[in-house]
Amino acid sequence: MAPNREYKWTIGMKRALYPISTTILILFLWQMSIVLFSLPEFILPSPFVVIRAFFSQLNLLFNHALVTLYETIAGLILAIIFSVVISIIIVWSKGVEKTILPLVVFFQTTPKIAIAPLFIVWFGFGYTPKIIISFWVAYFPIAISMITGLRDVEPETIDLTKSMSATTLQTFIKVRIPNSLPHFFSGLKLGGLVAMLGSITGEFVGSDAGLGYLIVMANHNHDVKLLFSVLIALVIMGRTIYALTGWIEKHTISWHVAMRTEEEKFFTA
Amino acid sequence: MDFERPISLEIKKREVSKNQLFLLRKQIKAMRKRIVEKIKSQKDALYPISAALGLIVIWQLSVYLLSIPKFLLPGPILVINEIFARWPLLFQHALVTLYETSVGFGIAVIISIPIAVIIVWSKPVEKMVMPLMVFLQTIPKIGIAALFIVWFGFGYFPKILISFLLAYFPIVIQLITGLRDIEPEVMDLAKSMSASPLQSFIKIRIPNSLPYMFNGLKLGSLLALVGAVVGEFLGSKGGLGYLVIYANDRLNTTLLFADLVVLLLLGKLLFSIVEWAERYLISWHVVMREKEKVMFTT
Repeated sequence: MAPNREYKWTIGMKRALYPISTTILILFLWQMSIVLFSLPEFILPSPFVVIRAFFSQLNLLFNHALVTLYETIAGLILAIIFSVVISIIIVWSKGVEKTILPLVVFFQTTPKIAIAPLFIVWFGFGYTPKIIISFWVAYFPIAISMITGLRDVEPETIDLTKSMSATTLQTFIKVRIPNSLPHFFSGLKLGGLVAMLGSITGEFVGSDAGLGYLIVMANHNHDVKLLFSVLIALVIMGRTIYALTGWIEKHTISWHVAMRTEEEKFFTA
Repeated sequence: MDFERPISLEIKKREVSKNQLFLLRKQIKAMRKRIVEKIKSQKDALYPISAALGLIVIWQLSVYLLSIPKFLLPGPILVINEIFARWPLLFQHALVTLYETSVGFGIAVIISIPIAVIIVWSKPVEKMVMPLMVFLQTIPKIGIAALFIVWFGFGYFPKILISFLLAYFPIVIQLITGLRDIEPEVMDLAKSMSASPLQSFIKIRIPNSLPYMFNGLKLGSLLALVGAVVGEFLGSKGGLGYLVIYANDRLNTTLLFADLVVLLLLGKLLFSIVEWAERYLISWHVVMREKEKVMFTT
């Protein structure tokens, strides 16, 4: 076991060498261009200045990040509850599926985030509109993945359960739900990322707290240092949410994660 | 008499005809399935359309019966009236957004093709660039939007840049996947027939990448629109996103709804243009494809 692990470690190190060197190169070019073209700090601060600004404003960033995190998680949980319930109903009844699913798919390919201002009109500047926006954008990937997973069971498996005289409920619990879990988690991972974007955009449009609010403030004050710091915070938060959902997935459906050969790719705004 | 016949030829003949038959059968099956599905889907379309109509009727009735004020929820009739009454304004702003989106999208397409080819062509470049791209992919790019507005002002350029940035990643990553993920047997066949790398690239890799590319393009077109709109949210002088904020600030919810309807139609238009191009350019794939890939956007 031990040599194997060591081997994996060296392979991983070798693989990491290239991206790390590119990152260092980019940081170097960034710093060099500032020195050479003598760019002022309000246009492009140097990487050192950005890192210093990030750590000196850690307190502020943390407070606002908590707000955004709260909105995101609340929206995500709402989205999970709604999409699980609706997808089960849709898979259960053919008529509901025919009625609702095309509408869900139709709205899926529209710029959903643009509706954000409407929620601000209805619910004010507090947390509620952002939670609803997060919910609204995270709902679609989770629900559609879940429906796909519940429905796309191999017909042979269903035939087998039928031939063993399993009831519909039994088939649902023992076959359909396990089959849907990988799809559900893939939707959840995307949903987590998208929910964060939803709450940030909601904060762009009207808010008094959160990382999106900080971006708007920095934008108005031409505070590029703060903008970069917020971006770093956003990356950390996005990665954390993604890692969290990935961790839950790994512990819930380890049988699938272990078998998976390829990581899914997500494209978000 | 049987004796004189060259055996190998017969086998060859039979195999070819068998293969052709198999392919033909597969195609016919797919076509028949498509036709049946088309008829079925036309029938099935009744359900969602009637549901949507029902919702609109309920919306209008509840606005009318509960006398909901216009600034909270305008009725559908009012919204449609607004669209027609304010058509010049909406059209003018839609053109701005369309311009930003299509230029950003076009640049993304032009740039991502050579980059994908280079990455697939050279292993060291791939090792250097790919992990970085995967990482950049995870940065919330609408956060970068604010940076572009600080740098480049309130004009069209920052929105074009945001649209480009959003559309670029799905297109390039799908292209790379399509160019790379080829069954090894096919490549072995090309090698055994002494095809040059360029030949196998043109004849095998590029056709293989097209379906993936169109998936990327579809998603990219939607994301480019989202990018332009969010960029307009942050700071602009024109465009549908600007109009959304304008209507929002004045509590003109009717105009807001009208604007959102136009935005929705614009998104559908862009998506169906790409879909139409896909059906036209790679009909061999679209006919054989069993099910549509679902696109997820924000």
